[in-house]
Amino acid sequence: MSKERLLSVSGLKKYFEISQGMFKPKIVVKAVDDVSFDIYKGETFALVGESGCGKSTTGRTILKLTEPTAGEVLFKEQNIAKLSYETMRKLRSQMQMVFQDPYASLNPKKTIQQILMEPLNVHKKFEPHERLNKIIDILKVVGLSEAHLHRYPHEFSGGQRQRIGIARAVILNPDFIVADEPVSALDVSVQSQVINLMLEIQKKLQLTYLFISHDLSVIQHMTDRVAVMYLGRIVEIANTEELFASPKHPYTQALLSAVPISHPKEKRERIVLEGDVPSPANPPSGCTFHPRCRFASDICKQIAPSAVAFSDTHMATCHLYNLEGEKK
Amino acid sequence: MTTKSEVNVVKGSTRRKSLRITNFFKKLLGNWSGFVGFVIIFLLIIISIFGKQIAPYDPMYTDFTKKLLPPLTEGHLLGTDQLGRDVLSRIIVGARVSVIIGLVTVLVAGTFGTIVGIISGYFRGWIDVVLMRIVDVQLSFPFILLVLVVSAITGTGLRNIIISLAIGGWVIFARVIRSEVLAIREKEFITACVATGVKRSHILFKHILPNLITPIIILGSLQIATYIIAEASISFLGFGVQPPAPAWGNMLSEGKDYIFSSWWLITFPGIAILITALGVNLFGDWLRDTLDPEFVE
Amino acid sequence: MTNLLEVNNLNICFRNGKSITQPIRNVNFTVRSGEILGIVGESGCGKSVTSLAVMGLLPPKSSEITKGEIIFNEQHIEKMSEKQLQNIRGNEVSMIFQEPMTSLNPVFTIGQQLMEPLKQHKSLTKVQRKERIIEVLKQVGIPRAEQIIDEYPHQLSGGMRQRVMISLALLCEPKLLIADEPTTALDVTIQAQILELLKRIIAETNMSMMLITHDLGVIAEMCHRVVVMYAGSVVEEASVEELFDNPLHPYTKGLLKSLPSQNERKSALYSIAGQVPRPNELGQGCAFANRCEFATERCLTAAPPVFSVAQHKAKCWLLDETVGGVFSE
Repeated sequence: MSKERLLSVSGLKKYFEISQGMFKPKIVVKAVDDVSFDIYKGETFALVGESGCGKSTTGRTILKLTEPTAGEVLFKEQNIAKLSYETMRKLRSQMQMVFQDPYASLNPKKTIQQILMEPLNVHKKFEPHERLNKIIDILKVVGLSEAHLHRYPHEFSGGQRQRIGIARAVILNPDFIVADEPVSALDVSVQSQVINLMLEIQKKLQLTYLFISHDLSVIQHMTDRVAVMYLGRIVEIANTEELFASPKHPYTQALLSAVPISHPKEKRERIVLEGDVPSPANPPSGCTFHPRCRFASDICKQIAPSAVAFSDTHMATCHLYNLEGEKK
Repeated sequence: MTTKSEVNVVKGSTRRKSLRITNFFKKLLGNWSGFVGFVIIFLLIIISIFGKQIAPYDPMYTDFTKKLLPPLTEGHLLGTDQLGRDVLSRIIVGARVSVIIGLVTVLVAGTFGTIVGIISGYFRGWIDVVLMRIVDVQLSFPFILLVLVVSAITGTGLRNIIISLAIGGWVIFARVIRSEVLAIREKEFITACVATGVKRSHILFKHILPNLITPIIILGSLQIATYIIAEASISFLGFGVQPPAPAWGNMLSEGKDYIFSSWWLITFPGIAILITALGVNLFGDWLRDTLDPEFVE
Repeated sequence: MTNLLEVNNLNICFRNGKSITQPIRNVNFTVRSGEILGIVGESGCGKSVTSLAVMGLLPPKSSEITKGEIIFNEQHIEKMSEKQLQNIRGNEVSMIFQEPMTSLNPVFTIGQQLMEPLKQHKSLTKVQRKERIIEVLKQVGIPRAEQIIDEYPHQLSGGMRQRVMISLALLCEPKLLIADEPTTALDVTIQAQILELLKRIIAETNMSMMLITHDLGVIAEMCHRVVVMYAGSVVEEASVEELFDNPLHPYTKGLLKSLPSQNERKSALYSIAGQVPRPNELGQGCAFANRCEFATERCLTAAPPVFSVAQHKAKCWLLDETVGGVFSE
């Protein structure tokens, strides 16, 4: 596979400050803490983790929907982390987003035509008289029709709304789409329809996805590479097949083992994690996973592990392995 | 092929618009309270325009031989006052003052308050702090007291009453609209606009403002009633419309001296104020539900 | 095994202004003592409404049981007065809800909230009550149970709150536990903990459980028998192995086939076309007919009866030829 880098994130940090009143020190929540990865053209890169791990914030910070605290985001080798609203605005026709909640992400007072016309007007795409036909075309691509143009979002089911959300994201013909849990609010039978749609338009429009999800079976099915996040940091990155076949980080191992079985006769050894995810406002010292880790030793409590490469495509941050990727 | 579909769609949109107007009346007829409110407001507007023509007598004409006649005597449906003037005619002609004050004040106070609320809620920061402290300070004064103080400075007369009511009333709009804007700007569809690349001004006017219509209508309809009553109160206290010109407030004010002997002098203007406030609120409620595309009866 | 709960031919109507919808049509199932019955279906299929009906919690003004019976432990739930229901709720039947964040009252301590059902249903002294609460909290795996009872819900994490909800449901040692999407709001690792816990409790106590979920993985993990619901009626009922090995109804088949784990990576997933009909769009025939790839003329005009193969039942005309023998209702 020829690899052309589309997006490169390095040292990305997003801290939220919560004021505690005038005389108390502010609480700093490190939602995203020093995250780096590259995304190559045409691939689907997944961010997986449990709620509060910072995967959504990472996605939104890359699109500058929230301002990064530190770090670089190179899109087509241009650093967009410091761009002004106006310059970034013009770039947005190339990078779009699909949201999790198909109910909240569509303006309830706008018809479908108005919703889909807006990106075209904003970026002055196509001649004005062509725009309506473009909208009808894109509606057909996502499995809706001209008849839906004048309807309001509430007249649609969840699955149909997500199709509209996808239509809005792809109508400008972008290169890159951040999909934040695009199917997790949908029912099983609708979920598979939307996944198919996303795979189909990816092929058709040569899209690159950043796919954010907590659903491992969906990730296993449709992504090329996966980054596992825990408490604002990436603990493991690998090719999808590699990750599911041989997870290296104890957290990844536990996460994969916790997925419900797909057949009652299936037997699976389950690694049960004790306790809950600690608060990102007050993360544990050293390796942030150590209080829940089966293999934790003294060094884990003191020193944050650095990345260990197991192959060109597989890396994890854990003290269990030496720098050559062998178990100590 | 392409043009054909376009024509169809254009046709569809005009048809939709005419449909909306007939729909408006269809919906109105289907809703009892909305219809009552609409009728009250409609009659009120007719009365305030053609008051002089509708009134059976000249509202200023005094006849001491016929003073303090009870209702339904000598052709005076609602009786006469202490100067022998026809109460019904005075209520009909006085309606204009109430309607003008209600509508114009709500327009002035509502527009100003909404603008302040939007600026405060959307831009946040120091401007929000400054504006909201001003609002807080003003809200700590009783509304009527403030209006009285302002009208003591500006003087009497219709224009000055409206100015003082608007000065007293804009803060409520500012507060409510600000909190609405704060809620709406955090909604995901606004984030979706940013992600699409929509300009900030466009987000404000094309996305946030339409979602403010509902709260503005609710608040406006409540406030119209408040202003009409407030005008009556300040006229009652002698700061409003000056006699002998008829207004519901000064009719109450003058009638209070005869409250035990001639009950009709204050009862009928009071009922007029009540019906007006009720009508505006009923219609406002209905309008709010109708404007919401998600509302299904 | 005896039947603890029997739902026979249940029909429920909802009234909303002038419109009447019927979200539940001819629902039959049983829960045997000591078993975990899974009810699976997509949103709007009526699984939650059914569970509310069993609890006697349907909104009294806008809903009505138009036909059928709910027999719990030989008592007719649908005929009970509010007072009789109160004696059963939280005592013999209790429920765990989906949202652990909103199901606890934020202004009372955990202890105060757990005290309530005991006061209502059991005559215990204050000390005995406290002992019982601590015992149950330990049973659901809450560390520092003695301190937790004086804490407020916001001080606990989502997983902990769901444990508290489970302990609340277990306090009076109910015979039937209804769990409505108990792990949907939780993360996978926490979900695994909670499912493990529920399984252990059922095994230890001879309680029965009705587990309502949309997640076939949770069903596979937990249940003995499964009822599949679609658009307000039961379309299939079987033991869990039988259902996963040999689904009879096209809807169940479609659901199982559309799981990403059943499809080759990166391939187009099998998917059921179309969407669930709204209650007012249902016609005479089979509710699934408009999405079914095997639908025939008969499916559109007549609702299929229940066909059964041993303990495996399904409502589908396709089984007429292959299986034969109409199961009488």
